[in-house]
Amino acid sequence: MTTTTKKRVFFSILLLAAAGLITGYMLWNKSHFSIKNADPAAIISANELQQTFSTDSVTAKNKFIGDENNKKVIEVNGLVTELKQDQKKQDVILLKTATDGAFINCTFEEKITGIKVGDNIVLKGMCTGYNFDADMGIPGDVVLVRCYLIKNKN
Amino acid sequence: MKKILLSGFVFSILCCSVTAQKFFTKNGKLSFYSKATLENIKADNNQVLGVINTQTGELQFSLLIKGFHFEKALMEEHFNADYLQSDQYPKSTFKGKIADPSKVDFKKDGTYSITVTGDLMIHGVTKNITAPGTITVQSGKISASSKFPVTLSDYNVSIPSLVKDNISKTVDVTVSCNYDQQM
Repeated sequence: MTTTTKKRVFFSILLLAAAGLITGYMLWNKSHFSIKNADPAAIISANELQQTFSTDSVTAKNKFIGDENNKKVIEVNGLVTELKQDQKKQDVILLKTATDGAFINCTFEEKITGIKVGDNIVLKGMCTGYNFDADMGIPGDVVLVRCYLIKNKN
Repeated sequence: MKKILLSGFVFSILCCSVTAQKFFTKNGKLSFYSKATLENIKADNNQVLGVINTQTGELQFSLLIKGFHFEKALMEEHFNADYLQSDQYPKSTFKGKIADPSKVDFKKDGTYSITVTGDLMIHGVTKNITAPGTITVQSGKISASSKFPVTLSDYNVSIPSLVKDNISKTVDVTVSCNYDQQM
């Protein structure tokens, strides 16, 4: 090999390694999927959402829960029954359903203002599933995380 | 007639006093922490359904795996897709009992040390575990917390060989529930 060829090979390897490192670094630090900018995969009322999960879990899973390759955001409308904060100081809203004690449990990604109990709101978020266990004897909630308020119809 | 009314009254009181022993929350917190070479792994879930029965000492919780939030999006993806396989195993539960519930006076303010034994289900695998915990009663409000180690291989959670040396085989789990509702 001539010195020029050797140099070329050396720099090509160096370039490849650098590209690999940069790609790796960007992947490692890539940001979370944006809920704020995502279009909803489904639009549904709080009541229908709870009904679907409690009666037909397979349909509910396919329609409302995404996976790693297909992140899903859903839009839900309903009545605010309770406003609270969790231990991490995130705002939580419970939306009423037709089943007593069962709610759509919505944790917000950012602070929310101007919402009170009894308001009719529209929000979007990522559904993590239906947290219900028959042994525990407590009505289950459908859980939405990283929520954003779309509209407050009051 | 009086007797019937009276027995009905007594029955309803008994009924209520029995059902009112269950305290629960749907926004309890469970977090885990693991030391790793590149960056420590930590995540939390703030939608834990936690139930405590003050009469029987039964203690249970249930959570959805997809509700764990990591700072790094990549970690969250791997956790769901490769480690816990959340599409296949969407939930994790614990169903146990306080070893000696008579030691806890749920009607009196205080901090009580407890030991809980029960079945922990992760990744579709159930193991019987025993963990130390604390019950706190403050102005009638009950809360419980516990910290215990979970060995990943016990629950068939496999770590890809490429990162095997960088990830700890055991993670520390912390659960904390403020039981804000009762039935």
